[in-house]
Amino acid sequence: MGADNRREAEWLDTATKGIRFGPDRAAVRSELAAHLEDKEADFRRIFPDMSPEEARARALEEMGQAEEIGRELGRIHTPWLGYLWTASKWTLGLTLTLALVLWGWRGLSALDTWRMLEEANEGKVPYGALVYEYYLSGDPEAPFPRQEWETEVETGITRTPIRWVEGTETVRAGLYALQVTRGALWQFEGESVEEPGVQSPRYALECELTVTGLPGLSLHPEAAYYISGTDSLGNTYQNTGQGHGTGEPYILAMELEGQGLEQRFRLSVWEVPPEAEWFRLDYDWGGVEWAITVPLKEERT
Amino acid sequence: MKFDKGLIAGSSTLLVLALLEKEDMYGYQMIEALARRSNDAFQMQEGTLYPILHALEKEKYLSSYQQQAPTGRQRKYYRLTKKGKRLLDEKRTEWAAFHKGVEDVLSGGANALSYS
Repeated sequence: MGADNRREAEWLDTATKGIRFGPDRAAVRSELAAHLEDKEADFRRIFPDMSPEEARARALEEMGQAEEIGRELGRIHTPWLGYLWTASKWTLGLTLTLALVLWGWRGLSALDTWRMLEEANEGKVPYGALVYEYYLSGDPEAPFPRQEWETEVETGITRTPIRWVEGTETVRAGLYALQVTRGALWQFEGESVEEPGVQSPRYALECELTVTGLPGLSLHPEAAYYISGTDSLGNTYQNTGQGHGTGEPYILAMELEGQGLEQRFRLSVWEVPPEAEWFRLDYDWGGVEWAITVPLKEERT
Repeated sequence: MKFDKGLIAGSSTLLVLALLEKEDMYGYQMIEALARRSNDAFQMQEGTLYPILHALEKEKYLSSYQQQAPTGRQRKYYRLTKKGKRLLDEKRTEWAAFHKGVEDVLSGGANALSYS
């Protein structure tokens, strides 16, 4: 890890060390890291001659004192709710109550990459990316188009699936069961609007993890930030909490819409090499351990 | 112009709630909007926004959700709840009264104490 990445990691560690419940700490760390990334990208956009290291250093300066922020966050994020969730694993009565309340629970919506996967049989699929108009137009009043997910603006990026994920066996862990149900290793080509100059092609694995279990006993959405990985070439990938904002490869876990006893997560991993033949997900947190090996097939069956 | 820290701290809740009144936003977006809408008069230490947001969310004045940015990164968006809207209205009224009070004193106006 370079000196700048280390400084950033130290800042994030200090700003979140007061948050005692692990999943909360990981989630807040991820949020602050995303802010830093946006700030750095902005500096490089406004000052094209600025190096990434300088952009990172200036972004950190403008974030403020990590100790002070850490004290405030620690005061706000009390751990007792998180421990209550952990304790509820052993409380059947509470679980049944939660099951009744949460039966119709809906999670979060997501960009429909599964539709892209279905369409990919025909070859290259245009990758629509929302363009933040105010970045391009310079008009400070241009609206953020983030609510218009149906409107995709064509960019120069195309994505092609080069390896396929077609479902793994079901793994049992704790009081829930997991399976990776679908996905692909994608090749991205073209220049990103938000990251001009980033080398092409790039590769990312996206797969859907389906978790079945009673509400309160299943994989907590923020515990998904603890999923790390390894590929068949020996490369390792940190979990979201550890890796986000460090520049090292990591697994980005995002909760998707679930229903009833089933929760779904999309796991995205940049820079998985195209020659990887399998990818293993590893989880070890809160006394629960599991691992799933995901074959990456060259041919779709 | 740099404002007294106390002035900014006292109004930060009002500012955050007001930003979210018309649209949901994520943290960095709020910092940008604050600077833009105030013509750079308000430029806070950016990390200090998050304890404010998290405290408001904890008290249910805000709710939040994750949405993926085109780069694949997750962003946490905040939304004003009905309870938050009521707080915003109260804070606005409070601010208007405070502002008027200060103006009256500064201008030595009709409501200012005077001895003749």
